[in-house]
Amino acid sequence: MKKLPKEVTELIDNYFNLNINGKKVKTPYHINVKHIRAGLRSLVGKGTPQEIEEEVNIFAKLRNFNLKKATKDEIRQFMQKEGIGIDCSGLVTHILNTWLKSEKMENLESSINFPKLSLFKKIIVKLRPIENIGANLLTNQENSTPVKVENAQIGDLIRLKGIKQGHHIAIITNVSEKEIQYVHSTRHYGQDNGIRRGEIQILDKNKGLEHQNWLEKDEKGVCWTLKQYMKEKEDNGLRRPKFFIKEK
Amino acid sequence: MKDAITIILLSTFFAFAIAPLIINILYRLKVVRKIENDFSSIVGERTEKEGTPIMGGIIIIITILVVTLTLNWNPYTYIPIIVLLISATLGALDDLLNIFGRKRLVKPFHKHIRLAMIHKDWKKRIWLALLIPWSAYKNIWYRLGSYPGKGIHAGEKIIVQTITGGIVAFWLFTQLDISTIWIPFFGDFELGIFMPIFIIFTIISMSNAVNISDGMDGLSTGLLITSYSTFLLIAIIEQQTEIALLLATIIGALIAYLYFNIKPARIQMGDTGSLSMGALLATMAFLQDKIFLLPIIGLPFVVEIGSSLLQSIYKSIFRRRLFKMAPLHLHYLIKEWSEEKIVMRFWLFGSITAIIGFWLYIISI
Repeated sequence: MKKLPKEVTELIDNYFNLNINGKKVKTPYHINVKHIRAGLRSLVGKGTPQEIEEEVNIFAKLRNFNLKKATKDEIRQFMQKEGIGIDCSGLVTHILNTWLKSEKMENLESSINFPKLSLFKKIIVKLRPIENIGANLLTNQENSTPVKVENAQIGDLIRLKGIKQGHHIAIITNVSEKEIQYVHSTRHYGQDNGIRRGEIQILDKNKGLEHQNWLEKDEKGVCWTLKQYMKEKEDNGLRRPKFFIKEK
Repeated sequence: MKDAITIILLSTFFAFAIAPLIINILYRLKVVRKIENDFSSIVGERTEKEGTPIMGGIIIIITILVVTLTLNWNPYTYIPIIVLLISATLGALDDLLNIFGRKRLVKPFHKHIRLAMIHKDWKKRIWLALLIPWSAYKNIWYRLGSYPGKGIHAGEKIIVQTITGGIVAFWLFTQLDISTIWIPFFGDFELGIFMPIFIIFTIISMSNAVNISDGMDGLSTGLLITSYSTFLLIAIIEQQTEIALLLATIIGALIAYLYFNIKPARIQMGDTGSLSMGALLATMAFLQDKIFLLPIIGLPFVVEIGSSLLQSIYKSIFRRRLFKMAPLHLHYLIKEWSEEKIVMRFWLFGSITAIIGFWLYIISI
C-alpha cells in the first residue's frame, strides 16, 4: 500500500493551518472565475501555502486590515473578499507536484501529457505549470486510467465532472477496508468552503462511488461533493495518474 | 570652494524664505495629495499622507531659477536649466492632471481600428486612421502593465523625456563634440554615434528612478543631496566653477526643501520635483563627464528602479512576487520596518555608495 510522503502530508497540513499572524487559518476556496490574466498565482487560486500566507499579509497592509485583532473567521472572510485561496486543481496539482519531486525528483509538468500545444503555449506551460494544469487534464484518458473502488489506493484521484460548475477533483489520502479518505478544495459547504477532508464509507466494493456512503455533509446533511459527482456519474469516478502506474 | 559654500547658503535661505508662501498657495489652490491616485500611499498606513500639498518641487525649481539666472547664467548652465524647465513642466502637468483631471482611458487597439473603418463621418475616419500608430503605441504601454490613470500616461511621459534627453544629446554631441565617457583607470571610452542614444536612455532612466524613489517623506531628497554633493566635490576638484555653482544652488534648495519634507511632511515634491531632479542629476553627470560614476553615486535610485523592473518582469513570467512589493522601500514597509528606519537606512546606503563613487574618482585621477 502506497503511503503519502512526509512532504505531501506537511503540504496538506499547511493548507489546513495557514500561519496568519500566529493564527491557524484554513485555506478558503477561490477560483479565477473572471479569468484574470497576468494575475499572481496566489490570487488565481493556485498558490502554495507560503505564497498565500505572504499575500494575506501584504493585502492586510494594503487594506489596513488588522490581522492581530481579527478572528480566524474574519481572516477567512477577508481572504475570500480579496480573492486569496485555493481551487480544487491548484490543491491537487501542488500535492502531486510535491509528491513527484519528493520521490522521483521530477516535476509534474514533465509527467503530464498536454494536448498539442503551440510553441508559445509550451513556453507558458513550462514557466507556469501549476496554472495550466486543470482538473480535467489530470483525470482525462491521456493522463489517468479508471480504477475500481476495490482497488483504490492513496494518490488516486476522484474525478467529479459537474455540468454547470465545471470540473472538480479530489485526491485520496487514505484507504482502508471500510473507507476512503480524500482531500479537496471546494466552493460548497457555505462558510466552511475551501480545503476539506472527506470520507467515503465503502458499502459495496464492487459498485461505483455513487453507491457508497459519502460522509462529508453540511449542517443540513447535504453532501455537495456527491451531488456534483452524480451530475455526470458515467464520466466520473476514481482515476489513477499514469505516472503512478509507470512507477511500478 | 568658497563661492560654492556661499551659493549653498544663499540658495538655502532663499528657499526657506519662499517655502512657507508656496506651501500656503498650494493649500489654497487645493493642490494636495489625494489617496486614490497616489501609488506611494497604497499601503494602508500611508493614508495619513492625504491632504499634504504636492508640487513642492516648485520651491526647488524657483530657487534654482532665481539664483542661477541672477548669479550664474552662462553657457554651462543653459542646458541644465532647459532640462529642468521641460522636466518640471511635464511633472507639474502630471501632478495637476492627477488632482484635477478626469480619468483617461486607453481605447483598445481593435476598437480603434474598427471605429476608423465604420465611423459615419468620413473626416473622423481619416483622423482615426491617422491616429492608428498612436493608438498602437499607447496600447503597447498598456499591455506592458502601465495602468492609465488621470495623469500623463507612461508612453506620453517617455516621449517628452526622450525629447529632453534629445536636447542634451544634441548639445553635447554636436555643439560640444562629446562622444566619449570617462571610465576610472581606463580613460575615455569612445561611444561614437551611440552617445546620443546613451544620453537619452540615461536621462529617461534617472528621471524615472528618482520619481519612483520619491515614495516616502525625505527619502529621495536626502539621497539627492548626497548625490549632488558628491558631484559638487568632483566639480570643485576639477575646477568646473560654473557647474559647481549650479550644483551648490541645487543642494541649497534641496536642503531647505528637506526641512519641510521630513516626516511628517508639510509638503511633497511631486512629479514636478522628482522628474526634474532626476533628469538634472543625469545632465550634470554628463556635463562633468562623470556619467560612469552616476550609477555608483546614485546606486539607491538604480536599486529602486531596478527592483520595480525586476518585480514586473518576474511577475509577468512566473506569476509570483520577487519582492513583497516594489520599489524596494515598499518591500521593507510591508516587512514592518518603520518609515523612518527605511528612509534613514536608504540615506546611509546612499552615503556609502557616494563615498565609493568619490573614492573611485579620487584614486583614478
